[in-house]
Amino acid sequence: MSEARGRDEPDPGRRATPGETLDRETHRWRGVNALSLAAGALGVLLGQPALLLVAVVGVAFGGFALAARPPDVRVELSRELERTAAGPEEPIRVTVTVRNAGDSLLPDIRLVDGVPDALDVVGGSPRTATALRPGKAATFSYTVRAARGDHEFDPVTVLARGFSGAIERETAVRARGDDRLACTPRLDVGDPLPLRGLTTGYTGRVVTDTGGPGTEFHAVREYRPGDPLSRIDWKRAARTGEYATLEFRRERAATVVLLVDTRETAYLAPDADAPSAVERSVAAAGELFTSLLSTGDRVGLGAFGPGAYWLAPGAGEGHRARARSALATDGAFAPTPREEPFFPGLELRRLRRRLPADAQVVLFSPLCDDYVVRAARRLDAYGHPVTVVSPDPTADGSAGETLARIERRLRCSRLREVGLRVVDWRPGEHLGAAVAAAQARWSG
Amino acid sequence: MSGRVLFVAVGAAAAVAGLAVALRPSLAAGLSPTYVAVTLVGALALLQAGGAALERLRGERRQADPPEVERRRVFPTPGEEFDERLASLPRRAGRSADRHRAAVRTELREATEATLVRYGGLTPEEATDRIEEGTWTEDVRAVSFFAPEAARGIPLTERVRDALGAERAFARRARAVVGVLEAYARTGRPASAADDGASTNRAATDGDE
Repeated sequence: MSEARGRDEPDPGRRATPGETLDRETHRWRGVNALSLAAGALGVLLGQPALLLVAVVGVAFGGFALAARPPDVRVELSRELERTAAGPEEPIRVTVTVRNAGDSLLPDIRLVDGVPDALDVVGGSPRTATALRPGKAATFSYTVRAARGDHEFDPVTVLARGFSGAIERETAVRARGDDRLACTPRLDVGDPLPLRGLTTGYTGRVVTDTGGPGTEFHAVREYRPGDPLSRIDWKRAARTGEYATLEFRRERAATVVLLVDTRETAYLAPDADAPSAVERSVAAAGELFTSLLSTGDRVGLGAFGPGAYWLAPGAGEGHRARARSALATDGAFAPTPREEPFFPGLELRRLRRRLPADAQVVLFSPLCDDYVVRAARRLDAYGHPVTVVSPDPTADGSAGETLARIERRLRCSRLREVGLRVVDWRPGEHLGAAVAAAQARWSG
Repeated sequence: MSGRVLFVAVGAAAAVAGLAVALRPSLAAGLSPTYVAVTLVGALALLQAGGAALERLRGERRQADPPEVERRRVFPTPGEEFDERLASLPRRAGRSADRHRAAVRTELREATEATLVRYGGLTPEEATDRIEEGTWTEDVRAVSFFAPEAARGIPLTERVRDALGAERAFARRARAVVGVLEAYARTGRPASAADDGASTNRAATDGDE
């Protein structure tokens, strides 16, 4: 206690970690001290015994405050969740019980539950204030709205004061019981994203420049024995007596890797209520993953950020389930940034080694820094055609925000200039609409 | 800590002695407090009271700031950092102020050059020349951000307002540059046509805004 009661008192914003105690002198009796000293001084100077008597009362309170010691905080906490797995937006009731496990009365104890960063409290309050006799317990409950992710509850912050309130002790206590809430959204089939030309040898939906079976006309060539009858140009045969065979553009499957920019610099949003660019990217990646699988393409998934996640391109229901689980609860796609170092150069090299030779990349990034532009260009230059789907997190309220918006637009332009495709996806816009608008402009 | 213990000990001893004298005045028979001694004690107490009152009025918060856990984390908006840099420009000239200004100037210069090339139809060299000559826009305040000698063109009343205003002239000019860039990006024509020709298939690029 002695070291905490000096000038090196912990900052009001600093939080205790489990097992640690922080003591702060509240100085709430300082005013009483000043008044009693003033009364005493005036009593002496003016020869007024009544004032001196008033001072004695004040001094007694001051002495009481000075003699205060931090309370002995020994509490046990338990937390119960209505359900530990929920769908997005579902309200989940959380009940916390605190029990005084010490031998002394706690006259003033305040608790704040460690609600995960990515969850909103929509009912009740995650904090309480009470007094607890030894062995007694108190309960409080509140409701959170579930959101995508595997959310871990932080320790409960406990603030306790003695009768005088002169010293406040802060501790953090881990609650027993439920400490995780997992929310796994369904993977809906989204609108298809037109792919670049790099394809595999399997039949799919990407139209190539080589002739063969398909639906889009490509050329007419001389008939060769063995050509299917359905592809013979019968009108020409009737007119000229010569057989010719119709060629269509071959449709092939592609290998696509969906890469989500999850660096800390990608956790951006245009306002306090809007989802972050990473949240929009993850939702879009989920839709696209399902839509590409349903059209026969091989799809992989990666996170370009701390905790780099990698799911090699594949197909099938099991593959889809793995992607769904990763996008929902893997730490690499967490709804709040991970506090770990990230070395983008190393990660880019690792990614390059992992990418199959015939893979193209769909990169989801808000494009709010120059590094990601260089990374996209490099991947494209290595022979993996890149399409960037860019959720726009910019606003235009202030000069800085306007400048950031202009800079982002210039980055999009720089990418387009070197042949990359960019889908500029504005806030509130449906991804399918953004893709359609992009495609229409390109075709025009 | 030891000083504090000493003070508490002396105070407690004095209080006990006072109480004893109050109960048995004969104990203080040998003491004859003079007017000067009593006044000195009163003055000391008053001084101490003043100090304690000042500390109280200073309102130093010494209690924990409980965490705000009700709302999910708010993410930053791109450009906040630039706004903070403009708002926290040091008022005094010096190395720190120079560094601050240089960082803002570099960022705006790069954005201006890129905007002029992209939306103004200029080559990078032409854009640089225009910025240095001060002919890239008609907004004198924006021009004077990169070419200080152009500040002479700003009306005197405006310059006086700049000098007296809470916001530094540097920040005002920086904002003017952003305003001009925004107008360019909104109304200017891209320098080249849709430039995603490398697309080979049912491409999904948007052209230019």
